[in-house]
Amino acid sequence: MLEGKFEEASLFKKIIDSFKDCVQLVNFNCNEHGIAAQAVDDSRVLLVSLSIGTESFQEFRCDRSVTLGVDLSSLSKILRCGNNNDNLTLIADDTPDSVLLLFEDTKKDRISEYSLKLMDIDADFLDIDGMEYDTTITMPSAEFAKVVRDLNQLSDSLNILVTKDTVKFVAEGDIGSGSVIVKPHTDMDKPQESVKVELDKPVDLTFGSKYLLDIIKGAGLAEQITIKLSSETPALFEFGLQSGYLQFFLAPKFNEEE
Amino acid sequence: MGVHALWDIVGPTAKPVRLESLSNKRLAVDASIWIYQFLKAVRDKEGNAMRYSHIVGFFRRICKLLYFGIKPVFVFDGGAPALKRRTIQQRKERRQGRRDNAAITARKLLARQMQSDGHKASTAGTPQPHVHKLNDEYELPKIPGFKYDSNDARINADDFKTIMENIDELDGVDLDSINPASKEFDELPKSTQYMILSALRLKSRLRLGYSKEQLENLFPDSMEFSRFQINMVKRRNFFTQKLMSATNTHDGGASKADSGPSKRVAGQQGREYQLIRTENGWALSLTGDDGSEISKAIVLDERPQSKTSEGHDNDGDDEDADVDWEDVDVEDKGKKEEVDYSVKASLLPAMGTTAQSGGGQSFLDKRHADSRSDKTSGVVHVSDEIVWNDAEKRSSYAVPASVRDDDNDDGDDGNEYADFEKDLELMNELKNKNSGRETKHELVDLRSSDREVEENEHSHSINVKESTTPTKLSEIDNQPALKVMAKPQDSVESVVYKPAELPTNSEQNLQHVLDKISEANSDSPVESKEVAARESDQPPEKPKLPTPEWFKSSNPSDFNPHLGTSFLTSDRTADPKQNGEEAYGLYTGSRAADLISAASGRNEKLSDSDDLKEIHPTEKVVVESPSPSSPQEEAEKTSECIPVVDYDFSEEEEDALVSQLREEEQDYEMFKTALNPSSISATFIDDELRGQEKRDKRDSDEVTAAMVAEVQDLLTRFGIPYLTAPMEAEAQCAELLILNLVDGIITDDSDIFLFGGDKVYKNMFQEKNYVEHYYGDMILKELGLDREKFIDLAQLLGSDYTAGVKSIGPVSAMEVLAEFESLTRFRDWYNEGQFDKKLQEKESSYEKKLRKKLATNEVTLGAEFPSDLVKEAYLRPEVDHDATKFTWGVPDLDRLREFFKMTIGWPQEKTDEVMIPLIREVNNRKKTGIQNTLTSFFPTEYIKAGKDLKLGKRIKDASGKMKMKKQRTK
Repeated sequence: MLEGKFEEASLFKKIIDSFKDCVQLVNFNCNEHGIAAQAVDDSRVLLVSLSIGTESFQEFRCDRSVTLGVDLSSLSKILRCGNNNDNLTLIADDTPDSVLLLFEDTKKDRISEYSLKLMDIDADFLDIDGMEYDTTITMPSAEFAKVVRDLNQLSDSLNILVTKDTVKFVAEGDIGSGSVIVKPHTDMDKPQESVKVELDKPVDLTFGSKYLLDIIKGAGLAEQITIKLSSETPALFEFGLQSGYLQFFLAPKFNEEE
Repeated sequence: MGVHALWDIVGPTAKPVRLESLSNKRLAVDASIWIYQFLKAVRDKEGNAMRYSHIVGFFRRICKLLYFGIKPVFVFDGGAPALKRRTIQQRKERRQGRRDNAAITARKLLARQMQSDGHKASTAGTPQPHVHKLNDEYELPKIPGFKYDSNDARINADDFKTIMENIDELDGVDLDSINPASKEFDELPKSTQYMILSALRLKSRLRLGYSKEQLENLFPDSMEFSRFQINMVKRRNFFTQKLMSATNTHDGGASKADSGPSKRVAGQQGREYQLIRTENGWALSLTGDDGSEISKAIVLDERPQSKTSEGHDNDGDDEDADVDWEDVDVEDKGKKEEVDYSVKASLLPAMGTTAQSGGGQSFLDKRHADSRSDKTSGVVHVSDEIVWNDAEKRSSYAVPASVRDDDNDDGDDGNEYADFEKDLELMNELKNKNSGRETKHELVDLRSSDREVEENEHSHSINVKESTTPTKLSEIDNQPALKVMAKPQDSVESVVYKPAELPTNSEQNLQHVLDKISEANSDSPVESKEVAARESDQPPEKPKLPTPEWFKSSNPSDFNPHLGTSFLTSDRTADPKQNGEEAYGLYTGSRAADLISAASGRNEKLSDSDDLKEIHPTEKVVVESPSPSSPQEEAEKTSECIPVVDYDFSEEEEDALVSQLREEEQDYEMFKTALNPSSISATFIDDELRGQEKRDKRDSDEVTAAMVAEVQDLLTRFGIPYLTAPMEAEAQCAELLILNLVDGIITDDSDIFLFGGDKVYKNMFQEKNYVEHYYGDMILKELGLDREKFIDLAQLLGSDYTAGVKSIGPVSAMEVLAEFESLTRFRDWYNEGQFDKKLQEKESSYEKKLRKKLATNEVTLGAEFPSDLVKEAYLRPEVDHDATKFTWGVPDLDRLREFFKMTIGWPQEKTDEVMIPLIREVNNRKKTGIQNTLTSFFPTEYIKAGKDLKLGKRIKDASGKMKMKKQRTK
């Protein structure tokens, strides 16, 4: 039996909206630690890993682990039916055919109940633990989103160069080229505006812009984004939750000449 | 192919994988099977394999692979191991039987053909023997006579006579000599036209006033009578249409029927656009080609004048009967614009007439009456007979033809048969001509491109001219008695042959034409153009050139006159066309000889290569003109007969293949449009194999060394590595995977699992975006099958190496493996219990059932079961262990263009259409770098979301048992 209650439906809505465009079918694995999900996009370049810890819920109970195979586009349709401030409760039994979504209006006495049919989804499970990274960048997620959007205008790939104390984003396209340099600084008043770079080794990686555009949809979830990079391995883009995270793993491009 | 029904077992474990995710993977391709697949599945409607289907097929598949960034390594079969050879031998025997059947059928067909030909020939007085006459199952029995009631009004001859007499007297006009198709007739007042036509119509309905006895005399053979009736129906149809146009109820009418079903919709000087019927409706076509080259435009300016006078033919008019019938012949065969629709020209014997031809010129020709009247009836009969033979001959060509090709029936009436015949003739000639022209083309290939275009234009117009000239020739000597040999000299001789002395000037004329032609041809191509031009400039000496419009009359989409030069017609439309051509091939046979007699001589001269000369022109028509002398062809000829390796497909597999490839074809179309949205090919009828597609019935069923060589040549030009395995390609593929030289294997052959290949991609070319992926670990996990178990399954089910156990199917094979664990135990159980009743009683119900099934099928499991030899062959196949890494090159566009031009005759644009966007895509990918996939970094673990595979219950149980046992042994 699963019963998870979000204080505000908007949180779950935001989480789902931030990755529903890159993957469609997702298995949500629920156990006593919370809800976790992993999904890879069709081209197998981008991996989404979600973990919602019990702290994010107002109430959470899950006696036995349950797998909910969900079509995200259907789920987001239902989530749109509830108000942002409603309490949202997810309910499923031990061998569920469907999951129940319960919206409770906190001010009025209105309760709306939706049931979503579940699916059997075949999925690969990638063992993503234990990666080590050369560089860790923490920066405001809004700023990162802007850089990606701007440079996407120029080219369909974005080069990230990290040297001792600069992060350089470069795009070279047919119409021209552009670059944005971000330097680490610490904002004492607004710590969330700080940029932090931890560097073991300089890194030069190129990513497909269209995947980065998918990633920045999660920018609404957290003030800060953590980017972990390593040469010739997938990069990790992480948005922290109150308890848990939303992670994107993105495989880099590489040049054939190399 | 592979282990029987193994795919059924492993099928549920397949996982759809997006093609994009295969980007940058190195995949080994089991290529030998491809050639065989194309050979088997790409057939025209007649069931013939299409030459070069393998090249087109490979091209498409390679394009798809490259488009998705896959790095293929092609592996070809080397030889067959001894075990496999044995199985192949058995299959060969089976196939031989099938082929014998085909041969017998062909022989029967030939006999039928010979019979009808022989029949015609013998009635026409040629020495051709009557063969196989009795084989015709449609032959009507000879009935001595009908019995009828004397009061039967239908048969009452007297009534007819009166009616007929009344009709005949109509205004004192001799109906018999009126040709309503003539211009003069049109000039008559409408009322008179109406009168005459309705009278004629009535008359044609009334058996032309013959009594039954008369008809019986006329047509001793009932077959001839049938033909006569068909002919009359056509005629009546024409009269009706004419009547309708005379009363203005029908716009156009028969007088315009000649223009055929293709409508001109727009025009500009020197061009013509047509609405052409395609499969899905109507398409605007620049007459069968895209008009991209000047040479392909229809040269309207060159259209020669229609023939207006018969010159020498008329000289014969006043002579005796022999000459008379000859005239008719020319009339019907040669004149298209004015087909004689007078009743006389219906070749009706007793109406008193000959086939004197006046109708064409004067629709009221009464001369025949004078010439006829003083002849004895005997003479009448003689000439009648000849005329009839002639007509019969023609109509018998036309009838089967029209039956075969429905499209030909549209609107064309009485003159259709003549038209059609003409078409055949001209198409054949044009074809010959074209092959000649291509030789020419190759000669001048080196010239600069714009000159080439010019050249094209010229030679095209020449073609029109040239092809008409021989028609003229055959017209001149076109008399039924002459089955001319296929040489120009013979046709000259044949002139001498004619029973009646021809007026000398016509003979000279003929001679002159022949001289001119040979003169023209012995010259260089450029000069010959001039000569041809000169020829057309001398109308007094030459018979006038007929209009090329002729060709169009019967079936525009299929028999477009310009098809000969344009290769852009779609497969689909090409098919019926080939069909049609094939059909001609059949009855052209001996007849083709006299039709193309003149053309053939020419061809020989035009083509420089010796081998072409040796080919009899008649053959050319049938076999579709072997292309002129590419050196490769020569090589092929010698090597083609060597079958390399043989594959075994079951019937269902082959059927599936055919539909599969058809889907793939559509898929490819979509792929092409996706690749190159501006591509016009979808709208324009284009023909992939049309250009040089040739029928090679002789060795169509075997993969030849030449084919493999062609494909390898193609691969080289694409920059794709390939290798020839020492033995089996599948084994080598598996070895490449084991050596980590490739990341996966593309094959449809289930043997691959037995050779140790996992990571198999199947049905790569069926779905647009997905491919079935079989993963060894997955199969082990789900089904409990590993390599050894697979080999055991093969021994039960049968494979390339072993016959298998009768009555064991995929499900029971799994059960046997689960129950007995090893095949040795299975054998021992079966043999020990066979005659031991006590043991049998102790058996479980499953064992009893199985024993019963095996026993009823008389299965014997000898000491050689399970065969260690087979196991060994799968476990340690002969493969190349070289671990050198492969490298991939870039497609060489120029060399690919050249290759396609040389082999399948694609013009450069056709190759470019796909190749240029493809190469751009590949380059683009290289520039922006290759997108990696996550799976190359993270170990993949397949998670089953608490869900079972869709396995059959028994298989599930069996595999569950197997897995259990395996765990216990661990």
